[in-house]
Amino acid sequence: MRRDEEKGIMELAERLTRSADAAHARLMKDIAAGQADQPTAQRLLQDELVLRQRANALYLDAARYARPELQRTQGSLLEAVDAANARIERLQDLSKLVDLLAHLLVLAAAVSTSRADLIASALREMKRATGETDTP
Amino acid sequence: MRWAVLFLAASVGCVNLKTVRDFAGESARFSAYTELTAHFRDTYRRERPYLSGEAAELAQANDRQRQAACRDLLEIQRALSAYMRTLARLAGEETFDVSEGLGEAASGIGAHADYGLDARHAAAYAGLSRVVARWATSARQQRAVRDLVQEADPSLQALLDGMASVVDCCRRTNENEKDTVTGMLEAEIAFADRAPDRLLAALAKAHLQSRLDEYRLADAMCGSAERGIRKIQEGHRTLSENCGRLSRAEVAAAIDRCSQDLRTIRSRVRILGWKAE
Repeated sequence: MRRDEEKGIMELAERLTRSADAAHARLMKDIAAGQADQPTAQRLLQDELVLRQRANALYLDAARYARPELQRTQGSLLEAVDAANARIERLQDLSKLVDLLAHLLVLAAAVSTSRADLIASALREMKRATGETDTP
Repeated sequence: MRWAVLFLAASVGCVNLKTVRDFAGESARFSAYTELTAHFRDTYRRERPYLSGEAAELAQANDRQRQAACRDLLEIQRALSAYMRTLARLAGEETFDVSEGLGEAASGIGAHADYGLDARHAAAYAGLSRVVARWATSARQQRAVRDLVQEADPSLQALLDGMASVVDCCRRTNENEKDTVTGMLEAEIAFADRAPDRLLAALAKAHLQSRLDEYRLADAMCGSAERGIRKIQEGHRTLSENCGRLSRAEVAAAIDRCSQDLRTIRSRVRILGWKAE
């Protein structure tokens, strides 16, 4: 049976992967509809691949039972990633997708540092971007 | 009368340790985990051509961590194999064999015609003595096997749980690698398809198909590794819970089924023809 920390890390990695999957599906849809030129598509693809590499880093950590600090903040992190996935599905405007992905990447990068202050700051920005707080 | 008692004593409690030997032997030969871990270790080499910028830098950092981690992950398999080889040896036919010494003792009896003994009696005595001695040493051997299995089972189950977790991480990383490679190719093919020169798009599509086949093979290897680990867990748990009842047909049959499943998995890995570079 997996320890709780490892389960939490795996779950976060899985959600980052699903975010990357959702972003890719959206990108291919926009390319097919002629709504994304090649430079924009390559930029979005780059963001997607960064998310996948972040997820791979977490899978590796899970294999080594690392990152105990994540346990404290993983509930909020999971909520934030879920909210981002829901928004990706609803977005009509490609530019908003670019912005949201950028926030998600900052959050993933903060997670990789395991620093609670950076993670908290990235979480606040993500929640503001997904419209979850009243803070302007 | 004495011979009948000896024969009866020899027959009672004879346990077939072949079941244990076969299971331990197959478990020691389980290779899917090692092949998969080596494949996992080489992830960056395969995905590098499709990466650039920040993604490439992160992949390189992941690669350094992965190389270090895999050294430890492969040690786990060596520990499993070493334990199973020990168990196989402990349950081995030759391990507690004392028949050579008995042959000399029997010839020492000789034919004592004075006491009504002749060569036929000496041979019968030697044969029966071998059986009794085998029974006596067999009891010792069974105890040794039982003690080893029961002592090792909790650690072994935990080790195998750990291996299952590693296989899960390998599977998910393989998925991400597949989606990285195919994602990049799909996006670029979509634009190449619009260009007047069709050659690039055709070459890219053929390459995409070839890579997809490789990832299906890797996924099949993940499945084999996972099933193998669960079979070893099941077999050893059955062994541990039934060490005093190995002569019962249903117990031996359950362990034999695990051995057969492990043989099937080993054949399937061979048929997949997949070799980690």
